[in-house]
Amino acid sequence: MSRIGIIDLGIGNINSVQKALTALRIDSIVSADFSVLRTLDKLILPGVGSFAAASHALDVDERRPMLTELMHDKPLLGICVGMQLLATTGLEHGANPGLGVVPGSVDMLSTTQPLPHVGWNRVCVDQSSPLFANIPDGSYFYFTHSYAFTVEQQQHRLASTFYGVTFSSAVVNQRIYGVQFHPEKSQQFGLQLLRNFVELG
Amino acid sequence: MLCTRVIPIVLLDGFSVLKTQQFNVRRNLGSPITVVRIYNTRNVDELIILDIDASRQGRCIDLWTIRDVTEDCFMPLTIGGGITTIDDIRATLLAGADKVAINTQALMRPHFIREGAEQFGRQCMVVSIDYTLVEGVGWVFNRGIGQQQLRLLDWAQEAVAMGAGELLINCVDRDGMMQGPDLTTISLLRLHITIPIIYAGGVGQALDCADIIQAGAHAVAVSSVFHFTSITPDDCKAAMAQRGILVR
Repeated sequence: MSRIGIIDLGIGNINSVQKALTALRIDSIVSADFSVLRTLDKLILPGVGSFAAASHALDVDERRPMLTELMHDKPLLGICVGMQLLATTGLEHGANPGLGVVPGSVDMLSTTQPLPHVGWNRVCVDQSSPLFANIPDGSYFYFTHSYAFTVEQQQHRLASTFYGVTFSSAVVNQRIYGVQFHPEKSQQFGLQLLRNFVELG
Repeated sequence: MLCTRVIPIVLLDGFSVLKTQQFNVRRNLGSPITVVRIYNTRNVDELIILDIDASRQGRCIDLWTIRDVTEDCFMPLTIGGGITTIDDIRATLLAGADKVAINTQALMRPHFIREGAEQFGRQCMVVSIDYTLVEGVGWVFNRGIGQQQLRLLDWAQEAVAMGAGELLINCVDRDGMMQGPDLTTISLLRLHITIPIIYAGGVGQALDCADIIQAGAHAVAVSSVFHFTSITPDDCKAAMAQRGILVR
């Protein structure tokens, strides 16, 4: 069984993610200590809040280069703002750098629908991926956000969602994944997605 | 496309679940753990838990209780009650909340909404507004500090300007009466408010939920009928679906 690290940047609902893994009988370690994270097999990067606050959290204690180094050899799943941080740039409260591991930018959803986009919406898979194994295409997941990821290259778009406009609800670059929705709050299929990530080869 | 949410509200007095009528008459409904567990097994869209005595008693909602009730709860949670500082918000999120509901502190210091939104994103900030009707016009009411000389519409617009992510609007006159919602106010707010509006107060039958959405609310919050009748969240959704409203 993979050993899972939940990266604690002080910006996430870390406990909800860990609780979901515990319910799946998957052990995980919450840590901000890179010497600990380095010893684990896979990493989850949760995040709640603004891109700017999250980007600033990366500037503390050399986290940015260390996280980039970890992603060279470990699969990672970014959730919500954790997903957005994978982008090159974020435009919430001014332009701030992301980790740049999935080329693209994060900007406010340009939709005529009310923002934030809160609630259950369909996630339609754009390319087959083990992350969505045993999850029917078009399943509902829980979203709560106003900003969304725009990928530079279509190959990095893993799934899409429609909210007056179609946006990337999941991104991928090799073994780095990001989901805009909250799998830890999305009941049956959310738990399945977390299980899929843990079981990735 | 986004589904319309049906959101059970669970009120606490610090320890037990209770339900009020017009914010006065109280009925005790036992342990929050039991109540939340039932909603969890029913796969509800979301849950709102409010400690209605916290502000007035000068404390924050008990986070041990929240940790207990969220132990095996994998649905979105909004938590409110006596949240007055950025640290309170952070602690509430860490205890398992996805969003916080702010009522009294927002009235006392509207800038708190902005500070929370800057730190945690506006999607995290649900501004909860209770109101009473005077000759058909909504005026802001607060359990702790009483009736305010502030129109509901004015306060709702200021809350949005300050960075609220959603509004939870609760009609005191309809609270716990199960005799129908205040559709007029919903329609008025919808004309002026651009963020999601969650309406609570007065649902007595499943079709009321459809009326609330068709009047302009984005989500409906329900308490009494789930506690005291056999109507379930799924019944509400079935009634909404019959009217062509997209539900999960």
